[in-house]
Amino acid sequence: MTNLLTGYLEDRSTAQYFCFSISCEVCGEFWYSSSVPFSKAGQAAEHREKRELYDAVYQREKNRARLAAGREAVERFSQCPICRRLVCDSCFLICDEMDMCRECAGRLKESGEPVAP
Amino acid sequence: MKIRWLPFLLLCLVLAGCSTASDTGGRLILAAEGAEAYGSVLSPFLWGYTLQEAEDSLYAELDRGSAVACFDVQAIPAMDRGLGRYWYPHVSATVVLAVDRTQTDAVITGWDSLRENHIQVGMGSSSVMRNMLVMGALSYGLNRKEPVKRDALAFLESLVGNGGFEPEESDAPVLLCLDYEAVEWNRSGGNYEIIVPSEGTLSFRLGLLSDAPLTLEPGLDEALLSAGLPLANGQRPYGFPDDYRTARTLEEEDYDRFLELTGDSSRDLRRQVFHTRLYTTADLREHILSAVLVAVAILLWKGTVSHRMLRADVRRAVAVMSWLMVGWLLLRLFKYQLAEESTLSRMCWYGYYLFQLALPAVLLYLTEILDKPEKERQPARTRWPAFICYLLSVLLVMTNDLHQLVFRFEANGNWPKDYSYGPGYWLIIAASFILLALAVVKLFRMGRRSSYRGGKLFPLLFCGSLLAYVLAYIYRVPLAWESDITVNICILSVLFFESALRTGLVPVNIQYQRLFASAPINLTLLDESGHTVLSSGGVRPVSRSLWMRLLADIQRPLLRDRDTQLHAVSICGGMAVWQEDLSQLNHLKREIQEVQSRLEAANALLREEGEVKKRMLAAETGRELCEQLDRDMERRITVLTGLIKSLPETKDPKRLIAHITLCLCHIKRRCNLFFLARQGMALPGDELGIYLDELAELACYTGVKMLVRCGETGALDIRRAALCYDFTFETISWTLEAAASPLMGYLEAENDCLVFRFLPDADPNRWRFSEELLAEVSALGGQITCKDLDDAVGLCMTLPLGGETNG
Repeated sequence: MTNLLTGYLEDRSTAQYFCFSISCEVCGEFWYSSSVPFSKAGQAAEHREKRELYDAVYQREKNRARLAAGREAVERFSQCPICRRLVCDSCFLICDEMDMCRECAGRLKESGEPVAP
Repeated sequence: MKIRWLPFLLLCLVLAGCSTASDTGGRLILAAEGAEAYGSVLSPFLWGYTLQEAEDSLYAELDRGSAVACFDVQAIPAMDRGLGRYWYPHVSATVVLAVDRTQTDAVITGWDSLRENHIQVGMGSSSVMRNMLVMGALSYGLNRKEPVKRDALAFLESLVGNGGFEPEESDAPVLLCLDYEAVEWNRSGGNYEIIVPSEGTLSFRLGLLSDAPLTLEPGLDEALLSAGLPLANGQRPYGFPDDYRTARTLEEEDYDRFLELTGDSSRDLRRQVFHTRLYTTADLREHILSAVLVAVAILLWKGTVSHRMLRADVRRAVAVMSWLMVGWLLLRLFKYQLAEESTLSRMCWYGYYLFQLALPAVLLYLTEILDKPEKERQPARTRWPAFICYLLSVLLVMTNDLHQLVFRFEANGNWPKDYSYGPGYWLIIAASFILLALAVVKLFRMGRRSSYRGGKLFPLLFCGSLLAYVLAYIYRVPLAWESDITVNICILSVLFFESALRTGLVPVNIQYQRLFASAPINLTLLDESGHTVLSSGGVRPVSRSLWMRLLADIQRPLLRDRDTQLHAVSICGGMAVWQEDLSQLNHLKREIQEVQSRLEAANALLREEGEVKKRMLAAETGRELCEQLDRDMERRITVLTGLIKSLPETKDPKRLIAHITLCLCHIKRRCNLFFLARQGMALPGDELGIYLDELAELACYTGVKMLVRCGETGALDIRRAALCYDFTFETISWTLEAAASPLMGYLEAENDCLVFRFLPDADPNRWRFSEELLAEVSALGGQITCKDLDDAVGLCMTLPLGGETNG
């Protein structure tokens, strides 16, 4: 699931921090991961070698932040077992027999409570 | 956990620490009226138990393992409910009339005779248990078949009307008491006639209730009889009335009915007999319930005020006031739970002032901050005087046991009721009034521009009521003294503050919700914790993830979904977030993209169509060119074919081959000129000269000596150049046929005309040029003429240049 979510993450990072988002495929609302500041943010690279070094550090920290964002997203997103879409906790219902997304529940006339109302 | 809960938790811990000492067991507790004699007799017979004072209720003591001396009306219902397993009744106690014959000679036989004799009646105590015993005896006595409480209350009310009924009076001529009490008074020198009411009364049993079986030493009955206590089996010592036939002892099934009859006796006595506490709480249960209800109401009110106010500091001040009132009520509830009037109880009483005196100080602080911006720091001099005044007042009250300057009472007496006020009390009350007055004056000064001029009467009214009530309580005006001061002060304080809010003395933001609800701006105000404070109608709430994202980088707009963008700005105490609807923009963008892709597809189609057409056109043009070329060259090729066919039969093949070569050269150059003409290009005069020289050179091989010279003609259009070239070729052909060699030619431009002259060595008048050449020359406005030059005849082709020669 983490790998799946990590693949869906959209990059919202800036030069100062790393942030990623995932859009719920039912309500369309974006979820944003916690911002992780870039360790070298605000530090000027005077020459080319240092800039290249900073770029490498940036990419390495960004990859770590992406993984962390994927782990964070696991707590808030689920994959609907019927339509296989990624849905947020507000759109994912706990039903009697099988948990599913709001739209599938509507189609199947199932009732349930959202994971996060 | 938030730090603001810490004081409350500390208070709870402090109060929880005020519990009784740990249970040691083996205690004998007296929980019955007038059971002291019973307890002192019983104590030597109950080994392992020591007689001690009750620290808690009967049931709590029982739960701790104590043996409790109580009446059967207490013990049996408790056992039915699972409290206490062993009941040992020992003594009989009958409610009787004790008539002090030193004060009255009235003939009294029962309850009704009390009504007729107009004598003052007392009970010696107004405790709950005694009220219950007397009320029960009265109810059963006045109506033996269907006892009702109403009869007992009406009887006592009539006693109040007749000669007076004073529950706590122990010196009245007639006392409602237990028979062994009256016998004891007689033994102590009293002269009481003990009368078992003729209408009927109740006999109760006094005994021991315990959770564990008790072992009593033998000889208890004798000891009880010798102590003047009647036994539960009906055996009575000297001094008791002889006839107890009208006294009824309750059976097992009567206890619930008894409790039903005597429940809430204290409350009913106060309200229905003495007509007091009609509009306030009258017994412990009502005290507790009212305090809980008022505390809940205050907390709800605090919630509404917090909801109405945007300023965090004002909200905090109101919250402090609310918690002060709730703390006061809770402390009071705690004091109610204390079984005896101990030092702890008195410290709780002093503790009331911890909360009470803080209220005006906080109100003054509130008025100080109201007319200043939220973030502006208040100068300390405006806050410290009130705070110091409060601290000194509290210190004075809490140390009252040391100096008795605030409350004066006998420490060992009935201090909860028998106390007076010292100078310290007037000092702290005066200080509180001054703080309150300062706060109220400041409030009204700030609110003088408010539009609720008439409405300001209400805060004044409630403030005046509060002051009047406190003064009336201090001076013990019955209406105030009999009421619940804590509850009333809290209610009046809340009403005062609420009216101040309603009338605009304290600014609130009541209308903001309506404003936001009707404003089409999609704006949300969030507090420092990310909770929505105000929100426009129909706006989706901002989730915690979005709030954190905005907080991390508030300058950057944030996409909520594909059609909504959030913008945020930091405001005092939180942030304002408004949502921009991008759906129209996205719709337009999508439409533009669709149109663009449609146009690109159409362009690709058109491009492909153009390519196809171009290819078709090229093929068509090529075909047309070929056809046109074929037409142009047909006559020449026919001539050439004829020449080639005649080649085997010719006698001079060399000359004929040269002629054929000449024809081929002509055809080749004409093809060149044909394509140049299609390209719309001009032919430089020098290049035409080269063509003509080429013809002249080939003509030499046919035996024609020829010289052609080109003058300055400039660039010629292809049509004229082709005519010159054709004219030259046909002239050579004629010269070859007519053996008119040598041939001289001269091409030059004269007066806007191109003139091409040939001078052959024979008469050219008999030679005819081809129809195509003549037609072409005529079409250009030119002509071909023969000119007689005395000894020779020349050919001359004249073509108007038409401005192209110099082009």
